[in-house]
Amino acid sequence: VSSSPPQVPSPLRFVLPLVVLMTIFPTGFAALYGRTWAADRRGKELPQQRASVKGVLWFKPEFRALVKKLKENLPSGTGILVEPWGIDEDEGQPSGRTRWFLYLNYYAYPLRIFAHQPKLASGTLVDYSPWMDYQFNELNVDGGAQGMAAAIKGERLHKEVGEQLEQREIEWKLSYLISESFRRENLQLFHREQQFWRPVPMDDFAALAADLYRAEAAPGGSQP
Amino acid sequence: VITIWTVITALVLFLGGHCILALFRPTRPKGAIELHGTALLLGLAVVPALVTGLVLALGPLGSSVSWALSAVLALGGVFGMRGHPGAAAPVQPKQALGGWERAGLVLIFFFGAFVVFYTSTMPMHIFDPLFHFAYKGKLLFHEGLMTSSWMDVEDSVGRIITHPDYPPGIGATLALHGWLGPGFSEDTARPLFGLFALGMAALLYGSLADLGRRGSRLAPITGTLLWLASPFLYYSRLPHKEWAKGAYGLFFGPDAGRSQFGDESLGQAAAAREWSMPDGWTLDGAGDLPLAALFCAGAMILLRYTSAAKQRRDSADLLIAGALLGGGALVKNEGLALLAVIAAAVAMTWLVDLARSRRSTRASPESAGLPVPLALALSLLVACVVASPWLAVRGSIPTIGEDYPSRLSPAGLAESWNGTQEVRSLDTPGQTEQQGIPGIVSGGFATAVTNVPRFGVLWLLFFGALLLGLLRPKRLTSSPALGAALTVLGAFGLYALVLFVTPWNLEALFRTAIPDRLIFHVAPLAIFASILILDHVDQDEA
Repeated sequence: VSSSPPQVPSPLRFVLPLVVLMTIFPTGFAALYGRTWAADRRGKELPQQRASVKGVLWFKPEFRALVKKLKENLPSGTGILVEPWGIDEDEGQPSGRTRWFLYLNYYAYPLRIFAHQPKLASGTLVDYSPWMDYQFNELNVDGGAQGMAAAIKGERLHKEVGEQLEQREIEWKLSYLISESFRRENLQLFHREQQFWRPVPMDDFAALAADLYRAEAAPGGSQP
Repeated sequence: VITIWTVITALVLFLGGHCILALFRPTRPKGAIELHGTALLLGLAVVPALVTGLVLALGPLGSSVSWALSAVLALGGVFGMRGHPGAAAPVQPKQALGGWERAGLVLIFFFGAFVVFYTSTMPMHIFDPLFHFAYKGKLLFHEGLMTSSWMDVEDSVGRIITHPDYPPGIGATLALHGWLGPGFSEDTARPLFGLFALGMAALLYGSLADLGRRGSRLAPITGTLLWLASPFLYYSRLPHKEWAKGAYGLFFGPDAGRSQFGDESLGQAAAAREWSMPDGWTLDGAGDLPLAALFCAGAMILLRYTSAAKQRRDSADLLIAGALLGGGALVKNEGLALLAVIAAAVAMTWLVDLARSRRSTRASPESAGLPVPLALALSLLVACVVASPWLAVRGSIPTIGEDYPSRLSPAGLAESWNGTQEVRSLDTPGQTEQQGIPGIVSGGFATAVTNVPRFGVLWLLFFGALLLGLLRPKRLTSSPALGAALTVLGAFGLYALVLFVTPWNLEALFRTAIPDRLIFHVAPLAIFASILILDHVDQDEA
């Protein structure tokens, strides 16, 4: 290609000025990004920087405190089932940000986070509605479904779920209200004892975990 | 956040690339920029493949094995660099730079520096980088491949893992960084993603300098600037819906824009969150940028060999191209599908070349080097070897909703052709209406290629150049630009088919910058083709 001598000016002579002028958008972005960084984030620790980001629940102190508490008190590899107990009716259709359990799964690792219908829980937003339908209409986690048929179906499913929990040695359940905001009062922790979930107040969690795991390996708090 | 461990990992990747390059024993001289860009991209492709293979065989590598592997790669790279024929490359006399070229060079350096600054100062990852990619890195780092964390999604209770069947190449890079340093950290590994952008910039500059008009730096400067100043590298949405207001918001801040134009000028996403934060698609750790860089680098090098314009054919280029293409398949599943696209494009250019040489009395330029089918087969074989640690286990890992090969059946396509989906009505705000899937998909592509705030003039230039090229077909068919353009068009076709049969709601999908993220996979190749066509379109068709 490059062996022929140029006969007329390359059209690129006209393209380059256009390309240079079009850098106005990324240059503007770079300028604003730099200004925002210098004004709001420079010199701050990452958690502080993140806490200032609007609309991101999982960087808020309450979420981080929950992750820290779980990791400090439970041994590495402990299984936790996340399960909603209701939907905040005042907020309309839950948005994708209410799927904070995905972030819990990431940040609480090496604790093992489980969900009912994991494919739907891990899928896209399109799968989120069917996942919630399963919790409320099939598993009847909020007790909303009435009648004999619902009771029979619920009993069958709960038996199946119980077997799955047993197989995976899942000892804890984090139950929560599906809400656009992440609030401690919307969370309820349960411990599985003889096939039943016993509520554990958050304030008693550390003491109970210490009792349970005293004789076992060191807690996973120091692990990532 | 850049730490000493980030720098060390970057050096291991760079020197590892030089080590692999030396093993391929290249003979084609390269300028320093092309040489180092190629080596960097090779390192980003092959080192994660090595790590993935070792994790598959041994489990998590740990610090000692990682340091031993890195030391071997680094030493090999240092020694390999000394013997490269690039050192003896003849220096072309260069024309003096014009004003626009100087401005272009300044901007290239500016955006190169901004890539480093941006990836080093981002405070967070958004959805995809964390769940689809960094999480796999955590699993590789702590557990290895194919453990219950990857597999347990089939029962009514199981683990949470988004897209378990996404390849682990990016995760392997993050895991290596963790083993070389004090532990796994997606935050201190994030600057490594800038290397994909910078490596591609170097390769584009070097290749276009070599293939462009002799002595002129118009082609490399224009092409490299088009790439590094692609807005989509940095953001996907303007702070306001309209361009002019968006530009105002960029320079003076969204708050100033809001007070100037009112809240109604804000785009949906801008209103929902601080838009100036990373969007999660390119530089902050997702697979789209790595795939774009590795696939397009491999394709560019392969097409240089197989096109009729070959002047200095070096079989090592086939190995390099194959390794880069394999690396692409290891960062995103689309990389595998794109292997079929590049193969088809090379086959078509070969047939065109054959037809030309039959009509011509000149000897076929293919007389030197390997025949094109053999060359292509060799590259694809190397690609499969590089991707083999993943290909070996991929079929056993569950998939979530994206089993496209089985959906791309004649029946599936026919169903989609007649199918409709719900979209928001443009006529009646707040209402929805049913629209045909072909219309939604073609509309999505049309919107993407004309989205100047997101892509600049990249796609408009590509299609304009292609039209110009078609007016001078002889020139086009003798250039690597033909294969590059065919690959770009093939990727568009492939992705259109995939969107046709996707199980997701298209409108919801388009809100996550699809199909823009998909066509971004071939953006560097589109730049390569556009610049070559435009630089040579008026030259004598000798």
